[in-house]
Amino acid sequence: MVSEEYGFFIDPQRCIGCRSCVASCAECGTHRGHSMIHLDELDHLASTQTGPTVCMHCEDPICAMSCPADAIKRSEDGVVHASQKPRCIACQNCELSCPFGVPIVFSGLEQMLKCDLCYDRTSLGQRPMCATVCPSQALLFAPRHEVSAMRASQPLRTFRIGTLEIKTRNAIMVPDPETPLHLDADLLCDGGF
Amino acid sequence: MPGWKSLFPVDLAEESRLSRREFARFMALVSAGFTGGIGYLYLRKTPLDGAPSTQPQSPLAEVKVCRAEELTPGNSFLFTYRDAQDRCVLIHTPKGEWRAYRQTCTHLGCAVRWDGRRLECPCHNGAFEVDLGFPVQGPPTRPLSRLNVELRPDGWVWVHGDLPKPTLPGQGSDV
Repeated sequence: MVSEEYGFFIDPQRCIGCRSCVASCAECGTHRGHSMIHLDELDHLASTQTGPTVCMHCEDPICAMSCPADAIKRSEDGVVHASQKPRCIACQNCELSCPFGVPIVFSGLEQMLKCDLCYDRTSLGQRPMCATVCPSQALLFAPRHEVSAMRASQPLRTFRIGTLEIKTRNAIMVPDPETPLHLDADLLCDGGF
Repeated sequence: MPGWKSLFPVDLAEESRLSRREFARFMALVSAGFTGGIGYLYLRKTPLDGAPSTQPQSPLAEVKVCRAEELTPGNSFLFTYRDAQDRCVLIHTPKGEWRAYRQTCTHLGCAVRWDGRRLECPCHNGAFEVDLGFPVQGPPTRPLSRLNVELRPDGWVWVHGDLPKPTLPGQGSDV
């Protein structure tokens, strides 16, 4: 069981795009060869800025609620796990429903795999693989009360995407955490929905 | 919350459905229980109450039936062999030979009777010849159960033999 005291903090401003997290994730024994981390170039013509995306572990996981096969489960420490192999039918509902775009249905495996906070490591008190290798600590696994003193930016765990409000276990470091991050889905699509 | 959501909870702790592993464990325990129970019964060696006994009750029982001079040739004498339910018939044949049979027809278990020439069953008109007890008429297909007759020097007729335990009507293979 992952300690409640420890949180996972994602700071895109510190990301240097080295892809160490992607490589280390793929080396994990539980899903060897498949990385669960997306490293996105935000606007590759204008900027070198990159941002890592790992699962935010929502309090009301939309992927699990959309799963018709009841394959996605959350353990009592708030970690949303990858789909259970005997149940997953690779329907991709979770891929489409996740507001962060985290779950991936691997066509060779016919199963959805996603970041489970390296449950094999964190449940034993170790840090996730990506957090151990990140050279700039853009991915940080640390006690919650220490983070505020370590960083200028502060953790944000509430997001608004369209009309949906999402609370998450993992946090994104932002300069102003008082204002919930509001993504207007209409702006992302030409002409709106 | 809709009712179906409680059947498919997101949280692992609320999941109450029987998992494959739990089912396999249950089946393994039940199978082990049956195996252990059979093994215990085998080691115990004594059958359960009500099970038919495989041992003859008294394999070498002897019965003193009557005095030889009381039964003239051509007549019969009824007696019980092992208990009151095991009715048998002693026959002094017209030729002067002695025979003893269980008085149970091998068809459906009626009592056969001696008519002076052969043993007849009144229920379905079956008949057995007296020499070996083989069926000669009617539905019976198997011979009567036979006992050995011995004339002792003191003048008494003794009967002994290893009869199988009588089967109740409808229980054996008499049908």
